[in-house]
Amino acid sequence: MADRGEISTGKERTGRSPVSTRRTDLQVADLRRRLEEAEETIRAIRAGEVDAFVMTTAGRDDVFALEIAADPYRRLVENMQQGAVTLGPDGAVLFCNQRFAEMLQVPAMEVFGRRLQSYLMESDWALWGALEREAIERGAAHGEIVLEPPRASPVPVHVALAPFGRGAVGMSVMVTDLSDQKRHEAVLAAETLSKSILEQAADAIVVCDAAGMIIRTSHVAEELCGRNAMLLPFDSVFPLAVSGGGPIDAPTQRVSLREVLEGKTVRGLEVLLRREDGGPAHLLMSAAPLKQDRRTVGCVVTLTDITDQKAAERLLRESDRKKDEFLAVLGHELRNALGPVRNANQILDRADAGEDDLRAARAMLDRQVTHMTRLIDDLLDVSRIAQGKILLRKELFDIGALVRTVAADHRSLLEAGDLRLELSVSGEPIWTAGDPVRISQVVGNLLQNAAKFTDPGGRVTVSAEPAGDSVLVEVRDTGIGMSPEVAASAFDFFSQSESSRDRSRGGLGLGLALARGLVELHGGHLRADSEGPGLGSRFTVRLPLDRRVDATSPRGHRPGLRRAALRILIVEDNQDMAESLGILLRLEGHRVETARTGAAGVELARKLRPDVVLCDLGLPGGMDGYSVAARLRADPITCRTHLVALSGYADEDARSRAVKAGFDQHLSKPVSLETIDEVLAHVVPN
Amino acid sequence: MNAREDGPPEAPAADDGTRVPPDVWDLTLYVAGQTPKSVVALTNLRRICEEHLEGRYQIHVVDLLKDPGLARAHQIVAIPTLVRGIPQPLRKIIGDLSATERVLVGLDVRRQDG
Repeated sequence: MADRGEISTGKERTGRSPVSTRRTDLQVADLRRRLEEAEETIRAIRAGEVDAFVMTTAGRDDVFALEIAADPYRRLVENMQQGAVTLGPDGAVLFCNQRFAEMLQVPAMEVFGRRLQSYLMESDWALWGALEREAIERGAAHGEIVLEPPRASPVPVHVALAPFGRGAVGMSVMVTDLSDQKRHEAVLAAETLSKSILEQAADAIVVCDAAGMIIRTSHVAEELCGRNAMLLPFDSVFPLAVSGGGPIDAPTQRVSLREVLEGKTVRGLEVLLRREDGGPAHLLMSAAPLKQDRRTVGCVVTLTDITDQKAAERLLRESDRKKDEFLAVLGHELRNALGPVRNANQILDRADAGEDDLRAARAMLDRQVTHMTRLIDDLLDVSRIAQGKILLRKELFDIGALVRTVAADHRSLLEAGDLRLELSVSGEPIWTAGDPVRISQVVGNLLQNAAKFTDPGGRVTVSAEPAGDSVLVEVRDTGIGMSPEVAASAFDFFSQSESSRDRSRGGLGLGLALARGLVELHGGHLRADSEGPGLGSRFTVRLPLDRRVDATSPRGHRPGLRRAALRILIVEDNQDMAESLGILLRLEGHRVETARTGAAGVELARKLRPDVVLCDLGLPGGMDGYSVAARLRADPITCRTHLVALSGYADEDARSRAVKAGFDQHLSKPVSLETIDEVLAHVVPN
Repeated sequence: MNAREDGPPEAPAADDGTRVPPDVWDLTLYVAGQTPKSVVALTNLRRICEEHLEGRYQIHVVDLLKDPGLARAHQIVAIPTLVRGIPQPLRKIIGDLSATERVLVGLDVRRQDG
């Protein structure tokens, strides 16, 4: 405070002390500064550099701005919807209107004097430079760039540049905000996307408005209803009924969009669509309301065509039913065969049975066992064909001769049914390549089929003749014939179960399926024809005349049976099987021993040194047939014994596994005495 | 006006008598809304600062239309007026700052340019 006082008094004095001199200097400087300030103010006013003043009236400050002539233009520019910017030669903003400042979301004052480039996306700088050059060269330029406001998101804009001034060129720029337009473009892009979804979707997609009118459909939806459904009511374009709920047209079963439009969501409802052409389409329907601000503005319906799946489902159920029926028939057939077997067995037990009775009983047993064996062989063959496990042993053979032989074999069967057999096979051999055993099976099955379905007094004709590069084998009958539907499914497995009328004729209905499978394995074709029910049937086998098999090594050359007494060991846990086989072989003159486990079998083999071991594969006690074979092969005493595997499995896998384990041969059960005889005939006694 | 001779004794001085350059120039521009001269003055000021004081200045814009009372602090009479707060001493330049050379001299910027 004292200092200040000194200063104020010091104003009037000349400086005498150093301190007061300094004070005086300060005062002079201050005065000079004020004077200069006043001069500067006057200069600026006279130069027209000032356009507002601060006035103090009654202790209150007010600002007064000078009105200027350019004011109307100013207002115009300020009120434009576009941003307006003028740039100096260095690119700095000389002026911008309020709208441009709004685009940048900053106060206009912040923009003045800054380079416009500082508000552009860096990636647009080069483009901006090019626009400036183009404007200077051509007088105008325009393009699209993106503004980058310092504190807000980027704004896409259109800029129109026009240079002004001579020499150092300034630029006026009109800026149009494109955000809305870009948003619109985004909407258009979204529309394009949804359109392509509707084009590509595998389901029928239908979009309806709040009144249930169709406003969008997918390509598939259009196909489903067969017309352009735009702006038509959904309920009339897609007359849907709840599936499985009675007739389609029942009003209670009709599906309406009303509930969906009232807010209900439908998921996976099975419905039927009545189609103009053909049967009803089976559809899976999903529908949900479209909401906007909690208001339902329409709905989206998806319809998936499951007609094919439904048909497949039905087929599956059908074949499942057929399989059940087949099992019932199989049980029936086996039981029918077992009845006579039991009776025959009792006859054999009777002490008072005469020789004729005994002979009849034995014949009966043989027939029924043959019948059952064939049933089971057929079953196994069918499953082997289905699994592709049948191997053909092809050779060159005369199919004419084969047909004659098979026909002769079946003559008694046909004649027993009071049927006449006619044979039409030329005397010339018809050589073809194939598995004669399997082809015999085919022809036999066809003959048995003809016998089964032809009433007494009828006729069965068999023919074989070459036709181009094929051979045709035909079996015709004058039997009950077939409707076209039956003919079409005659070769399906279990198909015979279909018609109750066929029940009386017996059999499993596997014969034709098996025949077709075997013919197709040979690269041939089997077809069924009939003029209709009651008009007989014709089955035609077409086999390719394939002669490529080496004719010099035909199979079937068999050495004559030799009767040498052998030492045989049977390893089998089924006592009846072991015993009956033992009796039969002893009757053939062999020496036979039996063992019931693998271990016992091995021990007995070392002791007896048999010529042949017949060994079951599935044995109890921890050592199966494979192990037995391995042990015997490893033992010097038994390593040269002929080992024959007996198994319930008939496929190639079982056979090769047995051979790998050391067996010489593999026979599938049941094994006939003839088969065993044939095997034993080749064994040289030690 | 000779800035060198008028330098106040309080200002920091180096041995050779020249002032140490301040880190940041603190400049206040008094305007009245967006009157044309206010806009031109701001534009000119930014350009001059960018050219001669790049990275070493800060500009405060005071709109006296919004708050006329702020004129008191620096005794502002005519608009636009530029006030140099730092470096000391306080300097005022009245007008739209379109005469660059005069502004540079008035702000005592030339000294820094050497």
